[in-house]
Amino acid sequence: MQNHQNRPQKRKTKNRQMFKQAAWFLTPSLLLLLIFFIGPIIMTLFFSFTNLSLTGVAAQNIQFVGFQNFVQLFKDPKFFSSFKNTLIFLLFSGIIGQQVLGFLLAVLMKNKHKAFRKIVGGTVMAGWVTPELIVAIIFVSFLHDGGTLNRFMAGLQLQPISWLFTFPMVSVVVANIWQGSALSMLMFQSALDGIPNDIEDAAKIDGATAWQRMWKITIPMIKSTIFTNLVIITLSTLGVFTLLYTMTGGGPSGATSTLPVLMYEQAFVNYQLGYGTAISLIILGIGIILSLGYIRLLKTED
Amino acid sequence: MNKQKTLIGLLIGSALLLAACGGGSGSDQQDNTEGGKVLQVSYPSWWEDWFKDLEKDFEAANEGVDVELIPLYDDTTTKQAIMMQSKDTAPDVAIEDTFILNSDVNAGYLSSLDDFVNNWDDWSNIEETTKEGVKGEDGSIYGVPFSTDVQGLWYDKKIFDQAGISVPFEPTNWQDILDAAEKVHAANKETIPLFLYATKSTGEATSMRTFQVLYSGTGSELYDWEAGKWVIDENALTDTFTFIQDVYQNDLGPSMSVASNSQIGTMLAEDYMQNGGVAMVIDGNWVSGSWREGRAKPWLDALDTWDFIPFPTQTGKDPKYTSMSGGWAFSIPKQADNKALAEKFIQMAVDEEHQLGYVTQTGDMTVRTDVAKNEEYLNQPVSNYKEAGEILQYSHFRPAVDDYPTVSTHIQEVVESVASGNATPEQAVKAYHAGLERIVGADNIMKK
Repeated sequence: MQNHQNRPQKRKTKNRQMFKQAAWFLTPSLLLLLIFFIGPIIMTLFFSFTNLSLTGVAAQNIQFVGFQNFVQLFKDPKFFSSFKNTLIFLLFSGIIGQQVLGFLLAVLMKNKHKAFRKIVGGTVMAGWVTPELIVAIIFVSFLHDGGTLNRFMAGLQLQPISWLFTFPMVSVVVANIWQGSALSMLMFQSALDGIPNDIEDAAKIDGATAWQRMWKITIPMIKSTIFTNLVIITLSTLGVFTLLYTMTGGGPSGATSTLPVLMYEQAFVNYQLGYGTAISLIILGIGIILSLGYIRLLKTED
Repeated sequence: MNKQKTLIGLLIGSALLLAACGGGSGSDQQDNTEGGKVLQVSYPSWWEDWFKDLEKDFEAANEGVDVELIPLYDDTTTKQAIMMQSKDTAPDVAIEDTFILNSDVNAGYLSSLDDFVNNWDDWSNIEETTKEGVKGEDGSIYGVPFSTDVQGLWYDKKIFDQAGISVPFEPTNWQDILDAAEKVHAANKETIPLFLYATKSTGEATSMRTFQVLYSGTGSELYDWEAGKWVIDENALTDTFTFIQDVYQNDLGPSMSVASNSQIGTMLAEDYMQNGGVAMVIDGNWVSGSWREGRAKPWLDALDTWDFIPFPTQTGKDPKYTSMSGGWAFSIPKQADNKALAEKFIQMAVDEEHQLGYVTQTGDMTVRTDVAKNEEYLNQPVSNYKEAGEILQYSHFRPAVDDYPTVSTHIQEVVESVASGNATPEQAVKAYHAGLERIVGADNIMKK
């Protein structure tokens, strides 16, 4: 008995020591998380149940209003159109656009000449390193009525099109794909480089077509990268604001108003801070639900 | 147990550190402003030139005082409200748009100026009507007015001549204006017959210069002060939206992409109006100010081409014309560090000399009775103060209640949906009603 008790005791002390050590090393990052992440989330949660306002009586006399903000939100047709726009924007610019384009770029660049990789990679990266605001301005000057694209079309004897008004969602989706595809490309490049050549060679010898090799070898082997990329892209696309606000301001007639644009408008144009935080909480919720969904999908696949 | 304790300790420790950080930065700031004689003045950036002049003059007149100018670009009322929330960031002098002034008073951002203005001789030289706009619900004065304007109809006499419309143009109802727009359109397809601000990107201009100018001409009102309720007048709303639809859906207005440019106000004055690109514009009297010497695109002979006339009521019924007025005022935030100096600054900014300088530079109308009679003011090149002064009697003001900013954004959305053809006037009335109900609650709405 004595012996049996002694051993776990020793292990416990050792564990405790290790925990203390780990705690010290973790302190800085915990602190940062607390200050810049958990704190604001708790505040958001709190304010979304209040009538906090930037001006007017409610600015001075903040009151707890229960679920009123959320009730109002679910009555507002603008919320549903923004919700729909958010999902469309996320699906086409993020999940399909950036992910697929990034993957294609990575596949096409694999085993190509170094100079080729450098030039193509560098071109794609240009979008990624450009600040969002500049990307928005570039695309506005490219797409607006007297912009580059319409000048080019006029040269081909084509009628000019008000791209930002006739195809607002397509315009912002293209701009976001242009900017964001580099991250997917980089992630897929490193994943593809990690697939040993001999597996592919063996498959080739066995007579597998390029298509079969793609579906049976490449994709299953980089699955975890696909999911990680999916989570990152989903979260970053959900939060896109500058690009949309600068290019279209959420218009015309709310056609490109996503939840972040709606949140900004309610909080800083209409001065309804409480209502704005309620919207931000919903954005957070969508992000969490989608991320959990992806993780679950990845686990069941395994 | 122990793990938990350590974790809790860590959490508390970090919280304390957080608190310490916050306190530290705060006290630093304060020392800074109280040490030297610094006067912080925040203002919308479009007044840069005038405020630079004020800075120079005030520093010259008050030795040892350093005026720190804080220009605000875009969303000025929002930024200023955030600044006024804390002693660390509140300016000593703030500029208030009068439609938001009452809300800022209710928010507790502004100090009462009663003692200040009652002991100040010059206060009596300020137009009485403008003083109404700076009074809080408690009857105290919270701002010193320094600028006002009126909206009216600008039209290009040369284009009218070519289109066979007799000049001077004297429309007596909305139909006259639509008829003129038709004639311009028939004569010349390149020119925008009538420009109305009609999208969300032109913000408050859409709400005030288009919707409220038109709506006030129906004889109805947006807000009933006696009942303290918002008004739904279906006929007046339908007629207003129908006018906007007639203009935008019959090629009498600009394309939506032109109307949606947030810089269109500047583009109208500096490009379209100077190059025959537009025949009529509903806009402020101050447009001519941007054609004066020293501005980005001066056009000293502009008034040979453009005329500014009062906008008629819907059917021409009394008082025949209508307009909307805005206004700006100097205020002192409650959290200001240097209130005495701020008062001195305001006194100088609204004295006769600087007000004359202000109207010369901006084209806005004066709020001083002595400047209004001044020959130099009335005879300024590229100005129409006589016409504007006459329009002032027909002018209306925006309902300065807490919900106004939200309702105004809603109006902009509804107007845009009509202009873009996404909603009929009847659908727009329903949308306006539903939105108003969401914003202010059904109890605060009355039907007329």
